[in-house]
Amino acid sequence: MININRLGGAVSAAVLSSLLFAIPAKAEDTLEKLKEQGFARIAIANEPPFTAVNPDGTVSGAGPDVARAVFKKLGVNDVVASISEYGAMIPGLQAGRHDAVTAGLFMKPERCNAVAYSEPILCDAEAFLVKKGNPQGFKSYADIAKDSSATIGAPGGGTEERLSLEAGVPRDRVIVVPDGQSGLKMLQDGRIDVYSLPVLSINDLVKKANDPNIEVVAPVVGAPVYCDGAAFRKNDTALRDAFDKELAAMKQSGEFAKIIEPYGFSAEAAMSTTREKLCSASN
Amino acid sequence: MEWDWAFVMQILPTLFEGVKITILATLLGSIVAAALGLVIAILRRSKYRLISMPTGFIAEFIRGTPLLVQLYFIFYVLPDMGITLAPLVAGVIGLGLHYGTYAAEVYRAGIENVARGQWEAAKACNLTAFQTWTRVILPQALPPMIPALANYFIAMFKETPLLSAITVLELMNQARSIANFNYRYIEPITLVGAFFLAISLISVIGLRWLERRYGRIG
Amino acid sequence: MGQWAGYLQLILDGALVTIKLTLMGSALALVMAFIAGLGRLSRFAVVRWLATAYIEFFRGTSIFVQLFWAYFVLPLFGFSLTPLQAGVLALGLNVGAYGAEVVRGAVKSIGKEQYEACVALNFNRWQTLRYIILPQAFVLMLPTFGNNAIELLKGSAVVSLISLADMTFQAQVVRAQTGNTLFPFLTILILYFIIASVISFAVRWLERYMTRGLDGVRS
Repeated sequence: MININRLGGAVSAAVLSSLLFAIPAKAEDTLEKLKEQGFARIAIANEPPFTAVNPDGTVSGAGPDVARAVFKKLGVNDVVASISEYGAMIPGLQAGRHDAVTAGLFMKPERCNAVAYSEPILCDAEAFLVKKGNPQGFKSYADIAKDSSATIGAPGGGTEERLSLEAGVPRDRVIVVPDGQSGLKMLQDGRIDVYSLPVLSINDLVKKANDPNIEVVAPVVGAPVYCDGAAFRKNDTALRDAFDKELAAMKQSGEFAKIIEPYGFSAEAAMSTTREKLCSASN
Repeated sequence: MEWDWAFVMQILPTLFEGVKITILATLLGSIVAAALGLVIAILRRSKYRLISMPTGFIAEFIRGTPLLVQLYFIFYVLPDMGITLAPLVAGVIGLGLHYGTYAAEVYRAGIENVARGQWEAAKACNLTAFQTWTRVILPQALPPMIPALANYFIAMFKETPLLSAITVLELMNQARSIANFNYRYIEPITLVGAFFLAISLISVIGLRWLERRYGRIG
Repeated sequence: MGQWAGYLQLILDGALVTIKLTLMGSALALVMAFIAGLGRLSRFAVVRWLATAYIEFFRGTSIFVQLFWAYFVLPLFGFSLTPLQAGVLALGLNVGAYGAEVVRGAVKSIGKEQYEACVALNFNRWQTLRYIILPQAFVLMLPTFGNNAIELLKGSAVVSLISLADMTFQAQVVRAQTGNTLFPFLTILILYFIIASVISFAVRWLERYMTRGLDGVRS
């Protein structure tokens, strides 16, 4: 007969110790803490070319690559990425789950209120993926709102979901799609009429799909070019400022362009605008 | 972060839209599960091993794999074979299939619960197979099945949030949309939890009543 | 083909996380099941009441909701859990609540004469439970515990939605990378079934092992 009592005791001790390991986030001197532990925790989406997960499980994509380079200059040797839904990134950041978000989370005024953004990093316009020939003739989010039978797929909590809702598409016609591959599949299967993502993401998706029956509409009319930045906790402005300084130096030296341009992003676009401009934009 | 009652009032109507879908999915799923379970139970009792064995294996397979993955499979893989289902339909089929295998077990236990002597007596009275089932076996087997089935349907109700993963706009999905849009998780998710708890507590009372009324298996 | 091997490796990495979650979750569930199950049989009303509240709460709210709550809401109160911790906590507490009813049922099913014999032998309550009741009851609990462990395994797929890299999550990653839907999903369905089969096999073996020599004793 096994000793139930002893087994239970050992097991509960093991479980409790693993659970008590949780550390609440501290506000002061995050950079020092990151240097000490040797890595920063970043939130990413799995949306190439912004962020990508390789077959061997490592993380690449323009956003994490820039973050990795900047953090290295700050003395933080590595970044550890966790994949997350867009809508969960900011709550996750606030909850101390991540130290930064580098995932193509575009700067919009309401997001600027919730987090501390770095200067712009990746800029892109919005695009639609539609069936060949764009049968319903969609050019803008407002077009979709007008057609009462049209459904649009967008990532949950992403910029595209918000743009659709703001353009007046009712909630039940904005389908929250978990990832790019699902969005593509749902469009091919006729479950949605439009799938919206940034231009480069759509292009990447189309390239992989190699399907002659779909077509890209880019850029979407009325949706300006957005830029993301690395997003930090509201009270981590010191870390943000340090990040900005190194980022500016990299932009100056051309290292920045060298990282992001192979992915198809324009360094020019990121350098010609500022956080201040993007955060105060009224759209 | 503070609890915000004004925000709660603002999101309640949206959540209510989700509640309707959640309840609809549970009801439809229960009907599918009850019917499918009967089919599985009958096939498993078949004299022909070519029918009973594969059915048994498939049922075991469904019971041994996660509903979430089955839903993904129905929603994303079946269209490749030419079957494109609306999200809610795919969800109801997934729920029905998964819980149908549990319902089959209930039917099996219920039928086996009827004493052997009853079968023998029916034979002695020269009843036909149809008469044996409808007049002797089922009237005794059915009542104890009711609470057991209800128990699984309550379990199914609690699994409906999984349908949000295949874009069904049920309660959990509405809550996540609200959370994503407003960057506030505390109120929507807590309200969903409270809703499920309330329904479950009520159904536990209902279940106890059913058990008193119809008895239990085993 | 070499590429597929890489992706398969990714899924197997996920399988490891799934197994880890299942083991740790089951361990927590086992502890909670005994605490709450015996708690419901306590002499003290407060303990009974607490155990009942725990059981009804965790059986009443869906595992999905509990997981989201543990992951997104708890940190706002200052308890920050890693996805793995949130997963183990939610799965363990949830399945533990179901297990508690099994413990209670099994303990209550032990015949009265066993208790009377203990009184006759002048055992105290703890000795009665530890040496006489639980060894017999545990055997009765085993089959249902096995089913509960399989339920926990299946429930663990839900953690993929809070970005824990379990098997289901890795299947999604593979799908995003390759554009192939059938291969990753079919692979993990089979893997889940294998793990579930191993669990039910192990439990049956344990049951046989523990009932050796008990045949004449049990009624």
